[in-house]
Amino acid sequence: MSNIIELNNISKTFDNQKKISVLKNLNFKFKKGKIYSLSGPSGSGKSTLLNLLSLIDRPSSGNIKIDNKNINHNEIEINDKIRSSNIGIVYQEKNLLPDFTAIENVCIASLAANNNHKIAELESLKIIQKVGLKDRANHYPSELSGGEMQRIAISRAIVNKPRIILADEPTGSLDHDNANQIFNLLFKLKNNDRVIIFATHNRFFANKADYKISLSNGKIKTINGKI
Amino acid sequence: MFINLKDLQGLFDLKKGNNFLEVYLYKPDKIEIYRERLMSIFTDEYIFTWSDLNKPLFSALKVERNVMFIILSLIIIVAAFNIISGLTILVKNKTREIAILKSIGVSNFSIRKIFFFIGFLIGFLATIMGVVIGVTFSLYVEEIRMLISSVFNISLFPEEIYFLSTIPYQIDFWSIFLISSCSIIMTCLVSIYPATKAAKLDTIKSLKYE
Repeated sequence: MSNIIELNNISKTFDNQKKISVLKNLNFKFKKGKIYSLSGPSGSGKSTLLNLLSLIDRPSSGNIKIDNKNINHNEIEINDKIRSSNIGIVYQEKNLLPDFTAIENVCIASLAANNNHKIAELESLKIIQKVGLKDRANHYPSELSGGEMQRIAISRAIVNKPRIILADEPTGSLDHDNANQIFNLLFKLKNNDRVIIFATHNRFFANKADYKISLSNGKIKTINGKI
Repeated sequence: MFINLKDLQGLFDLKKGNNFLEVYLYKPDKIEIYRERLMSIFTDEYIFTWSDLNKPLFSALKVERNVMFIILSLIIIVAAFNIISGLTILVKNKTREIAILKSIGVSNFSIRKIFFFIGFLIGFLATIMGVVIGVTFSLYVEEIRMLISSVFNISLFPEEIYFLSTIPYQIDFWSIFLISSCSIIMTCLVSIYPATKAAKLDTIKSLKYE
């Protein structure tokens, strides 16, 4: 099984009034075709790690490899392209653009990956249909429930068929039934060429992943695997 | 009817120094060109144009025109600052949306383009509206003057001061084009700053705190 993401000595510190070390010399290899859960107390570095993996943030030291290629964090345009075509991100809430309808929210991610407008619209509709919200495609986020919004956010994250899916507490603001639906949807996205990494406080869902990574004080405390 | 000047002087028994010749032009605004031509014909004579004879009035009008130019320039500067502040507020209000766009891989250049285009659109539409309102106002300036005079019971543009019974206007398409182009260029220039600011937003902070 080949690696899709490699973390080499990744550290992240925030220099405000006080120097805060959030991640300390992390070394880890994420494999294709697996689902990883990140768990740990607040402030353990889950979101920071996901931000680094999504190339939105840059590490203070160390390097990230995606598909065995070193990521240069100064090449912003290239990293934007990697993110638009290879990485899908789902946040906890307020994921959607409020002035756009559900289908437009999905479409915009496809357009960001330089897809033709017609193809983008067609693909978006297909995926919205897949998550069971075809009849809500032309609704604005304010007209959708929390669960529906997250399903649209997942649709947006997968519209470009990314090989890396990152979810930062995607069910943090949902009830158990809706959370179950969202995680079922996420787990269905698993395939041999894709890695899914999600952060959650919910032990039940964390245990469903192939690998459960526990973070504490910016370090990997334990890794529990199903295999 | 044409007659020889010397014969005419003989006919009316006039001496050479008593002659005054008035020339009326179809294009009085081109007076300077015709003055040069007349000077080359009447080399020994004094030539006074209508602008020489009304010099105080014209210099007053010139001052008024310059002051108007300064006032209008200041208005344009204030309008430009309005666009900057409006767009900056828009960027502030749309911080989270910008962060979401960045998180799905929309490039900084595209985000800059979005806000630049908004600035351009505001400038372009405002210019078109300004031209339409300005031209309409010019066409109906006399009716508007009369309306204001009658409603407020005041004398606008009094004839005894301006020596004109109606407010004169001239619609110069070249001027309209020049002013419109300047205002659109200006709005494009002032849109650069907020657009760049939008592109430079910290995605993580925006996602966390907005």
